[in-house]
Amino acid sequence: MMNPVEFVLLIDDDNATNFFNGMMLGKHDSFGRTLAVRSGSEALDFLQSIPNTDAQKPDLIFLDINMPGMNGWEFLDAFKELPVHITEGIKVILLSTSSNPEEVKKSMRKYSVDDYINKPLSMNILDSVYEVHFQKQYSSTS
Amino acid sequence: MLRSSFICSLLFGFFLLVGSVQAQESGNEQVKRVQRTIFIYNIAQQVTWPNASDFDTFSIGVLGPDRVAIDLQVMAQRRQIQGKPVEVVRFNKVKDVQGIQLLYVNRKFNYDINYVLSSLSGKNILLISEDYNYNTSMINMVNVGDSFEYEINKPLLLSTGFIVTPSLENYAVSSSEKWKELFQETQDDLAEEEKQVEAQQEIISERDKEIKEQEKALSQKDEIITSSKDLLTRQQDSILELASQNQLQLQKYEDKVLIEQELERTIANQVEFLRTQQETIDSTNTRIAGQLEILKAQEDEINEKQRILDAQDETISSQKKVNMLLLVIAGLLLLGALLIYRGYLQKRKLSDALAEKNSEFEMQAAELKQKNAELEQFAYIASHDLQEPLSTISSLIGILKEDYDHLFDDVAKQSLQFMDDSSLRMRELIQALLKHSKLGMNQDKTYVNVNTLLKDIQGDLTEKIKTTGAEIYVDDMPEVLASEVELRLVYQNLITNAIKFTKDDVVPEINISAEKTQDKAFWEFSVSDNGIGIPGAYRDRIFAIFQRLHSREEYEGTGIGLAHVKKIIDAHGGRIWVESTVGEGSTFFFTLPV
Repeated sequence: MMNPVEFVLLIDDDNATNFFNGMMLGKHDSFGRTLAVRSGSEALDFLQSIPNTDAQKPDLIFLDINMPGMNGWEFLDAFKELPVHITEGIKVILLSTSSNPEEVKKSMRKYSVDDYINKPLSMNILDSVYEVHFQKQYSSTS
Repeated sequence: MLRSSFICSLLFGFFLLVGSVQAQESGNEQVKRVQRTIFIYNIAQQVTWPNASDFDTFSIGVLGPDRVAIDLQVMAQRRQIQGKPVEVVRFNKVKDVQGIQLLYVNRKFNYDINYVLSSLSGKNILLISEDYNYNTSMINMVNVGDSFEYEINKPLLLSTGFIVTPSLENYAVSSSEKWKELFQETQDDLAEEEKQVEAQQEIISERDKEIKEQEKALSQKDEIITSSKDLLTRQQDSILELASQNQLQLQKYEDKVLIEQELERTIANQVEFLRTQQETIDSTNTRIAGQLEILKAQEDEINEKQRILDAQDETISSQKKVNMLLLVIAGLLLLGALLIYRGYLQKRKLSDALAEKNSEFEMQAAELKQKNAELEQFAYIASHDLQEPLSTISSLIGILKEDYDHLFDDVAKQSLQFMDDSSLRMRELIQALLKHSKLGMNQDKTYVNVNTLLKDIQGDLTEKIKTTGAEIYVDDMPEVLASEVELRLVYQNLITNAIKFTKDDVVPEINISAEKTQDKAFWEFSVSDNGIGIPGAYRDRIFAIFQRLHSREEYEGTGIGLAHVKKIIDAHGGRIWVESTVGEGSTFFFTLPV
């Protein structure tokens, strides 16, 4: 059977992080394939290309905040400006190593973000992400 | 009561002497003059002169053009003093006074009483003054109503050898307070007198009428005399007629002679009566002329007083104006002083506030300095301590890669590679942080020749310049006071960045120059390139620590270079900023104090 969360987009400038997160998601039963991009602008390019290329829309984006050039917040500003038919149904979860999560949560209120979790990803974290953001929705429709 | 009866008796005697003519003129001033004269005579009568036997005539001296001299002279015809005939002498100057027994002086002629007294010393002259202050003279009179009071300076009289009778002494005024009261009364009387002048003028006109009436009476009497003469003629005629009646009538001759004698006596009486009438009229005329003179003098005096009053009024009003002016000036000065004081207070308040702010700033600066020092210390220690476990990790990764490589699958090998890369990156970051924490602490500034410095840097970068083909153009650069090591780091970073951030197909072209700012206080250095440029949104972020605009794959580096540069420029008291056009190039500016 298909994984409940079919397609996850990873946005992080650090290759090692993308490699590790991809491995974690691959090991978890609830998540399907992943695509890793190295910057917010790369991610925007990908999302904008979806209608033309018939590529699959991601169900979930893990977004790094601290990136060179366009950072996570700036990506969110641009994401909001994308056509609704692209962005609707995509959940965005912030991934950060910030030692000051309160500050991040404060900034979060100004953006439309679904959740915020600390790096690194783990199976437990992925379990709770699935439960909170996907299980109810899927259990009611399936 | 005693005193007034004494004075009344004095007056009564005198009135008998003066007779009906004086009574006819009952004017106030006239009475006073008479009383004054009597007073002087009476006082003189009751004083014993130490040299009484040395003079045969009693001489009275009068100072100034005082009418009292005339009055005294008139009185001299009727009265003696000390049993001696009286003569009156006038003096105009005090120093001329001598050879007299009594001197009268009225204050209205303005003689200095002390000077008068001193000039009388040793001459056995009794001084009777009028209207002077209490106890300043020998015997001093003051007019009270229609009468006079007097006071006696007994010590002075005794010392000069005069002896006064007890009765004179008893009726004298004996206290200065009483004297002042009396004096005040005379002042009041003066005002009254002024009123009486008018009344007197009326009296004069009445007297004119009276004189006319008297003249009329006189002419009537002339007629009577004429008719008497006629009668006489007729009587003589009748005598002649009788004589002609000869013998018969001769026997009655004796009787006729008697009648004749009687008639002659009657005529003589009438002539005498007429002569007396004429004298009376003449004397009345003289007195009227005298009264008129007095009235005129009084009028002049009144006018003079009025003039003085006007002058005083004028002086007072001008004084008032001056006072008002002074008051206004004083008010203005006070206002000015108040304003200045208020300004001073405000200024002081401001300067107090400023001082407070300044000390606040100083405290904040000190606090900031301490925080900075703490932060640098923290970064330094953290960096050192972080390096230890990191080097352990790196070493172990090295062992795994070298000795166990053949046991790993691809994923494990890739994981190991990421670990190696990450630990290497961490080492770089830690070292950058360590270096950053040390910057700005270098205090040994020297005059750095920037021309030489730039040549050295180009020498260091020879390899990079050769591979990129970069062109570096350097203007004539100044000498500047700075830490040479740190300034070298600034240029190294800026030039390296200028070479690095270019598109692959563009040959880097770098211009380096310097010029003074407008206020001549700073050198403004610039490094411009033809690189990729920096979008506006990122122009501030590039100076923050570990901030990168590109992935490490695009442009290598830790992202601390410009943070170093900014810290160094800040520590030197300068400023750094960038102007840029994306795709065309950037120019970095920084300033250093001259």
